[in-house]
Amino acid sequence: MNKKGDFGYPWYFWPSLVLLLILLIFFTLTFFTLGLAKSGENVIPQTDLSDSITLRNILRTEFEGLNIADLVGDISSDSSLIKLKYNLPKLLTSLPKPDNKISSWNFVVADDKKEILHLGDMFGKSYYVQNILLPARSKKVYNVFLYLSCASCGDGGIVVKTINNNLSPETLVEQSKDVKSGGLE
Amino acid sequence: MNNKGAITTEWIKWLLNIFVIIVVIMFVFAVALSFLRERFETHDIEVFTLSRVFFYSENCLALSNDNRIIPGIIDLDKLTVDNLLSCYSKEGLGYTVSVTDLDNNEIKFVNPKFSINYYLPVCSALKEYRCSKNKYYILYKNNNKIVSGFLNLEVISLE
Repeated sequence: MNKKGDFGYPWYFWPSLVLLLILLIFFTLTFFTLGLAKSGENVIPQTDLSDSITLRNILRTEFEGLNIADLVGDISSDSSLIKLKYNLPKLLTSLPKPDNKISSWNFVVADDKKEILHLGDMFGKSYYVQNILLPARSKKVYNVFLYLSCASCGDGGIVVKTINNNLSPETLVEQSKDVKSGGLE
Repeated sequence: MNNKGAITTEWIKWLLNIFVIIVVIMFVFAVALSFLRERFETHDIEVFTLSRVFFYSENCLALSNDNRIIPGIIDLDKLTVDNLLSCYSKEGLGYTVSVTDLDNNEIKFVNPKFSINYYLPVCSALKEYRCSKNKYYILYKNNNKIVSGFLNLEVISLE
């Protein structure tokens, strides 16, 4: 083993060196070429930075001496429903939207599983879902949602986590636990 | 081991050992460097934090009534340079705040004049800075009346 010509290495030196080279090549590919060890989520999506402040402000907005929360609470009466249908769309269209995208803010009031009021147009996936539970005069609790429906917002501009397009009230409640509002409000 | 051939063999052995050690050390350093140099985008989270400090903090812009803070409603009297400077200032971050009505007519504009704010107009041309314009639907108190409007927040931060 220690004779001239074999450099005095034990018999397992060359297999070990080959193994080391294989390992180095493997981890070089892993770390540098494929970047598998790096986290792809080092940018926190805007939708993960969330609260329901826009929806809260909308509900506090007054029209003719009554705020929208009062009108929603009394939505079973025709006069409140008419006032909501007349005043809210103007407010929704004035909310900031992504540039050069077909999008619309949607305002939904749901009672258990039934949608009572839906204002706004559906264009695609829903973003920035905000949700508030609102007690009504009839002693029911309404689920109020605000979200941006946008056709191609995931392609750029606002890159956000999308949610499914199934917008039943139950689904929205579930989704709003995970996906809430973001910077674009 | 004292003849020429033995010395050459020893040298080759040493070189081989050193080569293996150098390769391993270089690899470990390269991996460590690649993680250390990884960039984290913090602009969006900083903008979010800034806006929420404005909306929720009594010491910033949030309206307070009888020691009760009303988040989301802005007290225009609090929108001053001094108040903003004490409210939120951070090295490498600058911002301007304006409040407009629903027709986008400017009600109040405040520039806290952070040194970085001078780059705001040319921000898009500067690679080392990141800028954003954010618009939030708010209610604001002006002359004892609460009305709807927008808070516009222009933020510049170092990449």
